[in-house]
Parts: sequence; C-alpha cells; structure tokens
Amino acid sequence: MAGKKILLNELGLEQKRKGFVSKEKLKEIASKACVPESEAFSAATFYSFLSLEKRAKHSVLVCNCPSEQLKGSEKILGFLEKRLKVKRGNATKDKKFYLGETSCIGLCDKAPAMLVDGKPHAKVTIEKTKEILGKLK
Amino acid sequence: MNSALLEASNFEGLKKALEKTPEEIIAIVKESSLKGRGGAGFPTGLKWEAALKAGGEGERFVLCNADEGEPGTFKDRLILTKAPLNVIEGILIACRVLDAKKAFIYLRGEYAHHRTALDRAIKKAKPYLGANGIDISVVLGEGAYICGDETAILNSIEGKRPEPRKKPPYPAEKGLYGKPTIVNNVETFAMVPLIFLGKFDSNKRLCSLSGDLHKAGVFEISEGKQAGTLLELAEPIGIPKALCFGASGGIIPFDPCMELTEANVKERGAFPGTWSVIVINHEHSIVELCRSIQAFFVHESCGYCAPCREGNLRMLELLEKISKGKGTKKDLQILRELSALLESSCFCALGRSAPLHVSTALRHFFWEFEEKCT
Repeated sequence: MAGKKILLNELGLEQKRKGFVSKEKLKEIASKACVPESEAFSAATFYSFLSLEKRAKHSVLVCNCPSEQLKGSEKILGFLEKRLKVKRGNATKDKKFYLGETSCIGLCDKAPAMLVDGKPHAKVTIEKTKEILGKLK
Repeated sequence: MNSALLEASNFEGLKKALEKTPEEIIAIVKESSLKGRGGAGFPTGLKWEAALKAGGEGERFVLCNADEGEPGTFKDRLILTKAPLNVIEGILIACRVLDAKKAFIYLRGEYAHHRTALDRAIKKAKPYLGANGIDISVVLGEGAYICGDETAILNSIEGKRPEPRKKPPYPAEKGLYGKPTIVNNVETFAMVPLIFLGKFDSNKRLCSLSGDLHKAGVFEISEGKQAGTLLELAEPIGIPKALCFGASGGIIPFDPCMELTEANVKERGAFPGTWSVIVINHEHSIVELCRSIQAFFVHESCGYCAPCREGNLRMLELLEKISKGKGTKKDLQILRELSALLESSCFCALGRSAPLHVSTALRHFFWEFEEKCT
C-alpha cells in the first residue's frame, strides 16, 4: 500500500474544492488510488456527501434523527422549504442552495441541528435559521 | 462524562504500557474485562490476542472506528473533543501489541470539524510515534451509516464500495488489505490507557441521553443504575413513556425502577448497544417514531442483500400507511412477519437489527398501532 492514495480522502478533497467530482477527475483519482475506475464510481456514488454533479453553491442539511424530530426538526425543514421555495432533496432554481435531510450528525443533545456547508449549527430556531441563511452569499 | 478521561493526558498510561511485552499487555487488558464500546461488546483483550496470533507475514494495522453514526449517540464526539490524546494513547498501545507501524482513524464526515483537535493530538504524540516508527492517518468518511460496521470501514479505506464483508474471517485475522487488523471504537481505545493507570472501572460506561429532556447529554452510568435516577439528572420534559436505544436497539417502556443492565434490556427484547438512550414522552407517538426510524434504514441500507434492501422498503410502506390511519390488522401481522424475516436473514448486523424497533414496539406498544388500524 506504500505510496497509494486513499480513494475516499481524495474524493472528499475534490468535493470540498469544487463542490462535486467530475468524471475526468474521478478517473484521475482512481488511478492515483490504484483502484479500477468502475470501483471508484461505485464508491463515489455511495456516499451522501459526494456528488458527481454540481448540486448548488451552498448545502443546507437538516438532521432528521429521532431525537431531532422530537425537538422540532420538521418545523425547521418546513420553514426552509417555504423560505427557499424548494422541496427537500432539491436545489433552488438559481443553484444557490441545496436543501436536504441528513442522518444523525451527533448533535442530539443540542437538537434541532443542521450542517450548513459542512459546518454544524446546534439548537437552531427559525430566527437562527434566518440569520444563518442571511450570512450565505 | 468519565472523570478519569477528563484529566489531562500526559502519556503516563502509554508509558506504563510500553514497558510491557505484547503478551503482558493482552493479559492486562483481558484482566480488566474491557469490552468493545461500539455496540457489539466483544472482549477487547480477546480481539487483540486473535490479531497477535493471526499468522501471515508483513504489515499489520490498527484502526480506530470514529464513525459514530447510531442515531442518538454522541459520546465519542465528546471524547474526540475533550480527550483525544487518550484515544491516541490507546491506538499506540494496540500498535505495540501488533508491532504495527500504520494506524488509521476513520472519522465520520459529519465530524469533519473535529479533525483539527485530532490532528493536534496526533502532533502532540509525535515523540511516541517517531520513536516507534508509527504513522497515524485520518480517513474522513463522506456520510454513510454502514461505515460504522468494522468490515465496511475496511472496504471504504481500500477504495471499494463500503459493503460489509462476510465474517469469518474477522478483521483480527484478515483485515485491512488482508492483513491482521485491530479495530476498536473511540471509547474503547480511550479506556485502554486508563487500565494501565488503575483508573478503569468496567462497571461504568458512557451513555448518550437525548430526546424529550431539558438536559440531554453524556452521562456516566454504573451497571445497575435505575432508569428513573438517570432520567432525573437529565430533567425529563413531560411524562417519559419509552426508551429507544438508538435506531437499531429497539424501544421499551420506561420503568423508573428498572435497573439499567444489558440483561434487563435484552429481557424486554431490545439491545442497549452503545447505550444511546432516546427518551420519548407521552405526547409523542411510537408509530411515528417507528416510521421515522424505518425511513432512516431505507436510506442507509447498503443494498447488498435483498432482505435488507427490499424488506426495509416494504416495512416503511406499511408504517406510512398505518401512520396515516389507513392500515389494517393484517398489515400489523405482515409487519411482524417482515421483522422476523429481516432479523433472521439479512447479511450483516445493520439489516438484522434494523427491524428491532418495530418488533419491540409491536410487543410493548401494540395498542398504539392497533388504534390507527381498521
């Protein structure tokens, strides 16, 4: 394994850099990691945080685990759907926001919580959500 | 939170362990009765012994499972932020056992923001890493619950689709790149240096408490603590009705006098796993809870085996129907049959434990389902 790159780390870096992993880049990363391209494709399409197409500039993911639902995550999601005029699992028309749900993000003690561009926000309220959205350019 | 864990690590536990031979370390870990804290509870000393005894030439690896994805679980998050050095110490002690030169920490993507603390801890441990020629790499997950399974992590690091592998062979015998590998989770590794300092108590463990509570958080519980006493600390909102052990551990009625032991939880058909306890109060519906957990399993099933891929989907359809008040008594029977089928025929632990919330809910809260059916 000496000198071999870890496929997942390379895919993650590209996702962070560009917001998605292009087909050309996938090929390049697969070769660096000594993994067949088909295998790399199979892996890349498996993970929730990786995407082969550019989704949107910002990603807003609301945690939907049971603890979060008990503390009102559905209200936050409903508000976001109205405010961004988009159903969960989709990007806004201008491709500025992607709104989605995410499995547990380990912040159940501070529910409801969400990940905005990978950054956690805990104990969110509708007011706090407005503030967070306002800060996204 | 464990008080011994919060004392600043100055590598004393590691130093003491490094004076011992691999066999002596294993004997001490076995003696301590430390069991894995990732859910399955396998004795750590036995796992390490199997890895040491595994044949074959060449590299050996140590892997820290920091993919804490079970809904309702956040104790490892706290350890990673408050006591990352203890985790590194534990990893280095395991490296000593196997004479491993390479260790990995598989950190879940949702915890990417904790990477800095982890990198800082690895840097602090440099003198011990350098002296023994050990390298610790962090591999960042990208959002997949199945990667909490120790064999799925192996595939994930190797660049394959992260499906679980058939066991045996266990990772201790054939793990990363087919080599003997010690895989333990964050809390387990963090406990190891405490053993060598005489500060480990096998009767105590961390419990993530969340749900209908004012003061959700991580609590240290002793074997046999009463459920009521624990909940008092977390100040319940409303009247507690049920305890839900993550998504995969099942749902049992809240009984304030119940002593929190694995045997007591199992007797009620559930499994405590990592001791993540989600408290449900009288205002919340168990049917709705099951529907939400079921949607989670549909999303997280890796799709490798048919019972899990199809079965979870069918169970969700039924729960959605019941939840909307359109279910029938026959649907409840089918739900029960599907639960039993998944429990007995799925390929991995995810699939086999996925229906536990439904089977335990039907056992303890049947009337809530019945009420919604015609």
